Amino acid sequence: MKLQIKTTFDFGKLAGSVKKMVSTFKEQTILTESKEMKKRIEAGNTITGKMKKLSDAGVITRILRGHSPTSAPLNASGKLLNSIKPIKSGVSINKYGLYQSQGFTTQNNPVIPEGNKKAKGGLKKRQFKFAGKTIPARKWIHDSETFKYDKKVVNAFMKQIGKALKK
Amino acid sequence: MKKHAKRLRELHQFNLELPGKITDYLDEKLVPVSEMAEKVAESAIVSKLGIYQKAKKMGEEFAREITD
Repeated sequence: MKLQIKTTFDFGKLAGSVKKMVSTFKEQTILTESKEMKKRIEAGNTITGKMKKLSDAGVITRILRGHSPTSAPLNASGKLLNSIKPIKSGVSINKYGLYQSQGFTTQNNPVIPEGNKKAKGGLKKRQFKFAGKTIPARKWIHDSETFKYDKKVVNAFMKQIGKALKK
Repeated sequence: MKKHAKRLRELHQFNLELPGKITDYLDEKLVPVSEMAEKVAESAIVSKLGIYQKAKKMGEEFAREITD
């Protein structure tokens, strides 16, 4: 009797395509996460909830610079929002955004508005005593500890793996 | 004249060394989303690896049993 065995899977095929699948997965993740980061900045959200409101001094500095005092905490001029760009290795942002996400201590006593700019809102240019003040973290950027996927995304990726395993 | 030219050439030869990473000198910072995604993908694959290995072993054993 001649026995014929047919298999419906091929581990060799899977091994060959995993690298490409992971690479596509990374590209998609970078795009999705950069969009999510933009949404957080526009809405004034951290990765877990709402950002801490602007301090009174923060509101005054915005008025002096001619920015909206009511827009979200990290979205005064739109500079940070517009700096969020997906690139091959991740998401590029203005470094100010990273400091804000981690929290920092102010080093200077700035005169606002800076340089030769005129004060807006009918206010006078003034110096703020900010040096040594701790700015609390507005954690709007994920790190590898907090970055988690929706189950659906991981399941879809695993479905692709399953497909690649089939002959 | 040659002397001056030589001195000028020497003036242009200098090595500039900046400590730290190049990103420290740029206004842009990188959020390493690519690394994070890779980690997620790897852990997803690793979590299913046991099942794949079992399936592979089972298939091999089955083939051996019916061909021996």
